[in-house]
Formats: sequence, structure tokens, C-alpha cells
Amino acid sequence: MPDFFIKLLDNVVFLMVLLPLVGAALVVASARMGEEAIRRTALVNVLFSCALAIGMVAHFSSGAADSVEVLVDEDDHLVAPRETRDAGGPRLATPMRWLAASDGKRVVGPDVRLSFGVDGLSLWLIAMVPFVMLAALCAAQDTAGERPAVFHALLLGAQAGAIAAFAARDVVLFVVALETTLLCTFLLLGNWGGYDRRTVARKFLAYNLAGGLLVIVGLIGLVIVEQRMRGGAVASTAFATPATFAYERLVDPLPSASPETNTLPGPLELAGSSTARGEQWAAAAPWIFAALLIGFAIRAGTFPFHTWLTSANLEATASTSVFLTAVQINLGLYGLLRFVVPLFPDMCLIAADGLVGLGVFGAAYGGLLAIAQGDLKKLATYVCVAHIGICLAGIFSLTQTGLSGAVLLLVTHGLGIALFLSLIGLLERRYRTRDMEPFGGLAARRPRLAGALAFAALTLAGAPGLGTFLGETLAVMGVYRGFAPGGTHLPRTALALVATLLVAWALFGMIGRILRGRFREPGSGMIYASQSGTSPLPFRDGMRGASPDDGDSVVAIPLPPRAPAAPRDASWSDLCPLLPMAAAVIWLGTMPQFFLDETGPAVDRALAGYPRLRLPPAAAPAIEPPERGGSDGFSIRGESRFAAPRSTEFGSKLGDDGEFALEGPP
Amino acid sequence: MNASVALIPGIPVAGWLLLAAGGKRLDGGTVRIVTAAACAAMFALVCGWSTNLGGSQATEFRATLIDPWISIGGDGGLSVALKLRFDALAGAMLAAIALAGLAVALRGIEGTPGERRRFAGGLLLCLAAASGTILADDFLSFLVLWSLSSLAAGRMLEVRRERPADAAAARSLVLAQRLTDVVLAIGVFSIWSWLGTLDMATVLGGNFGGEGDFLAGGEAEIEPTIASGFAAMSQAPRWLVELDERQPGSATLLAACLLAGAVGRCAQFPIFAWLRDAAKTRPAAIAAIVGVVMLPGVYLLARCTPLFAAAPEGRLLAMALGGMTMVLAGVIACSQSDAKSAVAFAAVSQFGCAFLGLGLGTEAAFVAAVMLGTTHAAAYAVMLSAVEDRSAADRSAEDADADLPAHLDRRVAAIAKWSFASGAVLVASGLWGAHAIFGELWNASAAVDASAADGDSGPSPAVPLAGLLLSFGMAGLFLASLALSRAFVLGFLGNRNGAGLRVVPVESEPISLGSRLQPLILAAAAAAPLWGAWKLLSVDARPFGGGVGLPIALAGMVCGWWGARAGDRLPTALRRMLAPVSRLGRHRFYLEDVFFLGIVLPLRAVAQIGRFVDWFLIDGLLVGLPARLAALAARGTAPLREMGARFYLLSMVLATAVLLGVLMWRS
Repeated sequence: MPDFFIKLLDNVVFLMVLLPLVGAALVVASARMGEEAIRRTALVNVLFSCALAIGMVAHFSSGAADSVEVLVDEDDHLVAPRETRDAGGPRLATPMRWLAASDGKRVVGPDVRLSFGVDGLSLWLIAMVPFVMLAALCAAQDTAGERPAVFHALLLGAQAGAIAAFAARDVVLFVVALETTLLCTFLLLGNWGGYDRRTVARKFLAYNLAGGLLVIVGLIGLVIVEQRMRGGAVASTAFATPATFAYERLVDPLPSASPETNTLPGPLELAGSSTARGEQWAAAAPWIFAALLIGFAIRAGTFPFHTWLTSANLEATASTSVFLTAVQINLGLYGLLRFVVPLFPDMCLIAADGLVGLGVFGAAYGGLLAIAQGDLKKLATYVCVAHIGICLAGIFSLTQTGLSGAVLLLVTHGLGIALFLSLIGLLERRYRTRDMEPFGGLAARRPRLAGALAFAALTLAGAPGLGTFLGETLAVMGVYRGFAPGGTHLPRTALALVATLLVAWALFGMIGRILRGRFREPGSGMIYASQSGTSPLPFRDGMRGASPDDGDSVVAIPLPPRAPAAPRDASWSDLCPLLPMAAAVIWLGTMPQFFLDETGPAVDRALAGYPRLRLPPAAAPAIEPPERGGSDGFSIRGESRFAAPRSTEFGSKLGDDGEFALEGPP
Repeated sequence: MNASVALIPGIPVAGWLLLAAGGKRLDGGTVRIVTAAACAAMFALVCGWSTNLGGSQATEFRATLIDPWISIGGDGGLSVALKLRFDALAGAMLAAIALAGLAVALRGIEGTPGERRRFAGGLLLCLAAASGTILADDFLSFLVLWSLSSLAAGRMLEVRRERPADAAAARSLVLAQRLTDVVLAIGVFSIWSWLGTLDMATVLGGNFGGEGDFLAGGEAEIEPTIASGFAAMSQAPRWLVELDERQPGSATLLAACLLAGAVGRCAQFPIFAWLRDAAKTRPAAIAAIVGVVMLPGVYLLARCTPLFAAAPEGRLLAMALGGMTMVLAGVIACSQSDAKSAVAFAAVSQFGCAFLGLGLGTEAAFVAAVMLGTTHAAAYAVMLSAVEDRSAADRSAEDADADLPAHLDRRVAAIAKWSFASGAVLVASGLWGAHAIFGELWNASAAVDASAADGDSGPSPAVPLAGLLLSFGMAGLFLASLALSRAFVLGFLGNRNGAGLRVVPVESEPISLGSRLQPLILAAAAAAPLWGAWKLLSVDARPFGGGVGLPIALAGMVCGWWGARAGDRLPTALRRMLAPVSRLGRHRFYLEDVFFLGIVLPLRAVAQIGRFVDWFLIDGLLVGLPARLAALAARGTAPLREMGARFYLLSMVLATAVLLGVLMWRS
């Protein structure tokens, strides 16, 4: 491969952030060239992003890009990225100093870096974003209104922000990217959409700013505590310790474990190694943990903070909805994966029981409410809430299986919901409604649209053979064998499985209602809109019409003068942009090992601070009496945390009371 | 070469892809030929592998396709390889589903071209998923394919897209089976959690060699038969026994979870509500469901016999559910007014007999149950395919469905009639299995008496309530025979009141290829029960059960014939006596109502309540309350509120700046 391409691929993440920004500028520049030109410009930009995403995955998985440590030297100068063979570490890193207080020789103040990198956790999420944006752009036809250039520019800005947040290896950069995404989404939501768009945009902002504030406070607190602890650790050295925002330094204990790097220890190690500093950490950690947990939970729209998502999604345009449900909420869950799980093992282990319970309850709640919906977008939103719940449960199962399943579900859910919502957008454009009531038997007369909609619904329903099924299964398996101390995991597992059943029930019900049966579609003289704040159009006043569906009043509204042409089936040009996502969902469902190979090391790294459930190799011939380490067998901090590995025989996994023995990390 | 066993599920997949690629260009005849060819090739391949298995001194053949398929976390994590296992049990099951598929492909692919293509696609997908389920050698891929077969069955049911009833039936099937699959999944997760692996060979306690080997069965005289396979499966795996000692109830829990999966798949009591909806669709779809989709349920119980060996309560539960299903489904079958429902519920009743045998757990009962399941799957598929012809004629006569042309002339009607009768004979030959099961139950009952007398339980297991289960089984056999006989009379001969087959001669329509091939199918299908009967001769068939089963079946057939022919002329006293039972049967013992009132309605109500909770409680607490407080505080002062919002934003920015400043100052 030519060097040019190799260099290009080495900096592919940076390019993936830069490209949408350039695209946004081009779109704004071409504002006077008409909507079609704007759309094409944005589309070409996103297609380039898709190509870069494929190149990134190929380059990452080829092993050409080794892990790098984005660290500093003894004087805290930024050094060139150093390649390591550390599996699970960030690769394709592009660290650049951004904001640093320096006296000319060394850094003396806060050191903020424009540092991007990819690891197994973020790889697939980053790669997913351009394809989701492709769906969002397809759904954006006819919805951009009077300012298509701004609309598309904001969409591209949101894309850049999301990729930057997923790839950020610096805390400040992460926050800036997160808030950029929030701002773009807020503007998209407030300016384009349904009648109540401004109200829900304010609600969206209130929730997410509150969540964002908590995240910022948590991260800054983390930085301060880390700096104080590190300052104590190097008090004997000559120089003061500048605040660092580098993710590796804050979170990852591994770099300091290597004597070659001569770097400073991370908070995890400091907490375990010195009583005084450990106390500092112990005093601050619960507050930081709580701030980050609640902040990211709000951003992810987990139960009970999901109401901003349901409101916003209903009034948003189809493309904003696609971005909101496929990317925006993933950012929140990614924050939990990236910061909360690796950084606070002790807190997570204490809270895991409740969080898994909350997750599965939220999943069941979302599934249950999805059944009662008569509006397609509402249905999709509650399915989304259910999947978020399962992801949360998988993440806080704190097992490799659960975490891997959660990441797989994040990606496949993102793809599936993008497919589904973009098709709903198509339906809404054609028929000017998204209520299920006026539809029926679409499969007979609109086979392409119906087929695509059925596939998307099956994806979300977790049909076997598709990635969502495996994601849900692995996440629930993680829940079953989860780490929450005490009690049995069976009720939560059963509830999680029931939640998947409820989601399937809702989606199969949707298929039965609008795709099967006798053909009917909204008449040419009227449009239909739900009364409960779900109007797809910027006008809602009209005469009350048909009977309510599932409690929603349906309003029949005379068509505006610019009535669309007679509804027709989806064209191949409508569906082609969605095909890569469909192929990815099938591929992840049938051949998941490629995904898991890349994700596994990063998951291992995230769980490095946890004691591991060690299960026996199968069919072991010998049975030995179990040994239990520590006073309670579940000590987290202190010497008993890393108990020596026990026997690997089958019998050793069960204690006298039938519980598993634990093993510490190597 | 070794991996070519993957062709068994691969051939239907290839056929499905061919149909999908062909699209609308394929006419009905081509669709039928492609489907039938795929089924025939699959059957031939299964026969070839069975012969291969018999020719070598091996009890089974295993091949690894993808290793690892899923691997997470290394040691102690999840590691699954995509492996296949072919043994005598799998061979028998695969032969049965291939035959059933062939019968349906030849006789049941009717309707508009689009419907034919969709139905054939669903059938092939069902075949692929079901055969993959049977061949799967680990529980995770088993679970995936198991669920996939359910989904494919749903697709097959809803080929007539404009019929809401068909879509409702598909939804009902998929959701009911998914409900039980949830329980099955808990069982699979439990296995993984307890043992750390999902490999079937390890879980079921066998010791196996490497990849792709023909594995010696040990002694040279061991033949690769179901009976010899049972010897290896009759012992409970040590891990489960020890686990059950540590955690009492574990084995029972596992058995109950596996049983729940099988119950949902085979429409056993109390999960047969979905069959009522499915029976409203076309008979060919029911034939495929009975012949292809239900059989893996029997296979699951048969394959997991070692796990049930450690859980006597699980076995008793399987027997109880099987016995109850035999009686209840028999009553339902007898009270149905259409032939396909009657035959479908009769099939379910007979699958209950297979559950009875598998729960009993003796060698003779095991072999008999497997034989019963396989022969009945194929035979009922043949019978229901004959009903399809009958229904096609009926529809054309009433002009109820203009999309379905009549393919039935008098010659075909005769073939359909005798197909049904031949299927019934096949069922009767398969009842050898029922006889053996009854014999074993009789001995078990005797063992209970003996153990009560002197504490010696004898060679058969002492099964509590064995006498009651035996009574259930015999009653079920009587009712199923009666229902089949009644369905044959009412469906093909007509009663004395004049109701009967109305045939519209369509001279221009030739006799279909499927009709001509019917005798061949029947001959092939007959081979299975004959082989099973021969195998049974090698075990003690328990003369009492064998002796009493046949007269009961014959009595049922005679009663059914007489009752159907008599029609309204039945004695008034008898009609009065049977009326309540018949009413209960027609309403399927109100189980659907119980299900609806107990699960569906509460869930819907909770969902409606949840909407209010969501909008008023959660949103009200988190947003509404603060907003109202703010509104009260700034009543009538919109600018103040705007200012408040701006202040909020500004304070956010300032707070961040201050924090950063503090940070810099501290640095």
C-alpha cells in the first residue's frame, strides 16, 4: 500500500472528525445553489466518511496500527506516541497539544490535548456514525424547510461532534465534543420539526444540560482529585504537577504499571497503594461516581430519565430522530463504558445490583409502553428505551460477556433504529402521517417499503440471525452471571428476557397492523395526526375525525395546497443507502467473532480493576472443596481484592453456599 | 468432506436463496419443483449419512464448521464453536422432517404465484432452521436456530398477506413460542453459568474425540441405532448430579426450562392456544408446522434425556403434561368442525404420547417415543396435505377465494382421499410406539405397587400416578383415533345428512406431479415406522400395553366412523351427554381466555397505565413540577422566565470557567 494511504489511515480518526466540519462549511457556502446541491454536497461528504470508516476498521483490525501510549516524559512534555503491544489500548492516536500553560520549557498549567484514538469500545461506534448519518440524510428529504443549508450543516456538525466524542482521549475534548453534539441537536430540534418543537427543545436542553453539568463537574472533580493525589505522590520531586486531562492518565492504571515508561501512577493504583491517598480517593470517589453516573444516565435517556427522549423524538424531524436515537443516546452509554466502569470498580460493584435492576426494569417498562403505542415514532422511542435498559444491565453486569453484548447491542441497535426511523420518515413524507391507524396491508401494494420496514422491525425485535439478537443474548447472559453480590440473578434475567419478548410483541403487532391485512392507506383528501403532541407537521389545527387509537385522538386535517403526489412504494434509491446497515446487522448476527475480537481486549482493559468470576473448564474430572478468599469472599479494596487464583476444577466454582469463588486480575 | 454434513441444512438455504433471487420471474411450477427438489435432496443426503453411519463402526459423526464462532473472555468466558453432530437420533428426526417437507412441497404449494413463492421460501427456511437445530452441537447455536425456525414458521403462516387472520396467527405462534423460548433461554444460560460451556457433548456428559472424526462407539457390537444411543444417554451427567446435591432443585429447574421450550414448540398443554389461530390458515402451513417445526420439540427432550435423568420431578412433569395434552387435545380434536383443526389437534395429542414416553425414561419408551414422533410428523404432514386438496376444492366450490384456483378433479379427489387414509394407516403403524409406552407405564404402575408391597421397584422406574397416566394415555389414543376417523368421514366421504365433499370438475387441470408422487412418499414414510417397529422387537415391548393399545385405537376409529356417519341421528341421550364435553372442546377448555385474561389483558392495562405514569408522574416530577414552580414564581412575567433561562445558561458557562480558573490557579 502506498505510504500516502498508510499515513492517511494512521490519521483517519482526525480526518473523520475534520471531514464533516469541512462538509458543513461547504454546505453553508453552497447555500444559494439550491436544496438539491446542498443535499448532494452533504451526501458526498457522508459517503467519504463512510469510506473512511471502512478504512479505519480495516486498518485497525489488520494490526497495522499498534496501540500507542499518549503520554508525557518526566518533565511532563508531550512525547511522540509510543507504540506498544498493549492489547485493548488506543490505536490510530493523533495527539496534539491544544491548550497548555507552559513556561517555555515545560507545562506548568492545565494541559489540554487534541487527542484522538480508537480502541475496541469506540471503533464500532465511530464506524457506525457515518452510516447512521447516511440514513439521516436520506430521511432529511423535504424536511429541511426554508434553511436547508443550516439544517445539513448542523447535521454534519453533530456528526463531527459525535465522532470526536467517541474518539476523544482527552477529557476536555470529550466534553467539548459532547456539548457540540448537544448544541447541534438542540438547534436541529428547535428549528425543524413538529408544532411543539420549541417546547420539547427546551425540555431536551434542560435535561441534557443538567446531565452535561453533572458530567463536567464529575470530570473536573476527577481531574482535581487525580492531580492532588499525584501531587502527593511526587511531592519529593522538584516540579509541581500540572493538571492533566489525558484519559489514559486519569483512568488507565496500565501505563504506570510499566517501569519502562516511568510515568506517574493513576488514581486506581494510588488508591490501593497508600492509605492517605486512598482515603482521599475514597472520600471523593462516591461523589464523582454519582455525578458521572447520573449525568451519563440522563444523556443516555435511561429510565427514569427517558422522558426527554420520548418528547424530543416525537417532534423532531426524521433525520434528527435518527441521530438522536442512534447516536446521541449511545454517547451517554459510551460515557458509562468509558469513564464509570473502568474508573470506579468499587462503586460499580456496590451499585451494580441496583443498576442492573434499574436497567432490566427500564427495559421491561419500555417494552410494555411500546405495546400501547399507536404512533410509529412513539413505538420506536419506547423500543429504544427498552434497548437502553438492556444495555445498561449488560454494562453493569460487569462481566466480559455482558459488556461485549452491550457494545454489540449499542451498535446493532443504532443501525436498526436508524433503519427503522428513516423508513418511518419515508412513510411520513409519503403519507403525511405516522399513525398506524390509517395503514394496513402495505405488504401487498408497497412491497419494497413494507419489506424494508419489516426487516428493520425484525432487527429491533431481536430476530435470530441478526446482530440485535446476539447483543441481547450476550448482555442478558452477562446479567445472569453478573457480579452483583447476593441474591440470585434469575429474576433479573427473566425480566430482561421478558422485556425482549415485550419489544417483539410490540413490533410484531406493528407489522400485523400496518403491513398485513387488507390494504388501506391514508386517503388523498385528508391527513391524519395524533392529538397527543405527535403531529408530524407544523400545523395541527383541524377538524376532529376518526376514532382514537390506543387512547390517542386522531385528527383529520385537510391537505395543504402543496399536497404531495399520490403515495408510492419506496424506490431503490430510497433503500440503497440503507443496505449497508442491513448487511452490517446480518453480518454481526451471523459472524460476530470479528467484532468480538476487536472489542474483547478493550473490554478486558475496562474490567481490569475488577475481580473476575472464574468458572471452571468444562467437564473437569476432579472435584475439590472450594476455597474462599478474604473475610467475605467479595472484598474489593485492600489486600483481599486480588486473591490468588483458586483451583480451576469444576467443584471450586461453588462455595459451600453455592456461590462462585472469585479470582483477581493477574 | 466431513463438513459436508452442513449440506443438510445448506440445501434448503440454497433453495430459499434461489427462490429469493428468482423473484417474480418464477412461476408456480418452478417454485414447486425447486422446493421439492431441495427437500428430496435433503432426504437423500440424510439417508446417505445414515447409511454411512451404519456402515462404519461409529455411533455418531461430528464436524466443526467455525471455531470459534463466539469467543469472549477466554477462560471462564463464553466460547462457542459452530459444530454439527449427526447420529441415529438426528438421522431419524431429519428424515422425518425432510419427508414432511417433501409432502408439503408436492401437495401444499398452492395459491397465487406470490403466495407460492413466499410459502415455499418459508417452508425451506423452516426446514433449514429445524435441521440446523437438530444438528447443532452446542446450546447457543441451538437456541438461535430454534428461534429462527419459529420465526420462519410465522412467515409461512402469513403468506396470504391480505388476510388479517393469517397475520394474527403468525403473531400468535411467534409470540407464544418466544414466551416459552424465554424459559428455554434461562435453562441454556443456567447450563453456561453452572458449567462454563454450552458444548452439548460436554453438557450431556459424553466423552468425545477430535474434530471430524468418526467416533468409535466402543464395543464392536454396538450399532448406530437409537436404542444403542440410549445406553449412552440414560446416565445423568456427573456435574449435574453433584450440582443438584449442592444446590437441590438445580436439575429440576433445568429440566423444567428445557421442558417449557419443548412444550411451546409442540403445542402441549397449556401452550396450545396458538394452534387454534394457526389452524385458521391453510392446511399446508399446519402440515409444515406439525411435520417440521414441532418435531424439534420432541428432539430436544430426547437429546436432553441425560439431563432429565437427573431430575425425576422434571420427568414426571413431562409425563403429566404429555398425558393431559393427550386427553385435552383429543377432546378438542373430536369437537372440531373442520378437518385441518381436527388433524392438527390429533397430532398434538400424539406428540403428548411422545412426551409421556420420553418422560418415562426407559429404553423401550425412549425408542418408542422417538419413533412415534418421527412417524407421526411425516404421517400427519401427508394427511394435512390431503386436506389441502380437499380445502382447495371446497374453496372453489364456494367461490370464497378467487385467488385460489381449483386443482381438484375427481381423480385428484380420490388420491387425496386415499392419501388421508394412508396417512391414518401410517399413524396406526406408528402407534406401535404408543403400545410400547403403555406397556412401560403398566410396568411402572406395577413397580409402584410392588415397591409399596415389598420395597423392590423392579426393572422399570416407579412412577407415581403411573396408573392415572396410563389411563390418560389410553383415553388420548382413543380420542385421537376417533378424531382422525371422524375427520376422514366428514372431510372425504360425507355423512348421511348429505354434508360431504363437493368437487368441481376442472377437466383442463392436469393431475399434479405431487399427486402422482404421493404413493412414493407414502412408501418412503412407511419405512420409518416399519424400521421403528423392527427396532422395538429387539426390546421388551410389554405385551399388556401392546395388546390393549391396538383395540383402543380400533375402537376409537370405529366410534369416530359411526358417529360421523350418523350425524344428527345419534341417540339423543348420547348427544346430551357429550354436549358439555364437546362445548368445552370447541372452546379449547377456555385456555385462550385464561391466557388472555391472565397475561395479555393485564399487560395491556399496565401498558396503558404506564403511559400516564410516563407523562404525568415521571415527566411531571422531573420537569412539570419544577416548571410549575418556576411559573408560579414568575407568574405573568415571561421576560423573567426568559431571563431565568438565559441566566441558567450563563451560569453554566460561568461555572465551567470558574472551575477551570480554580484549576489553573491551583496548578
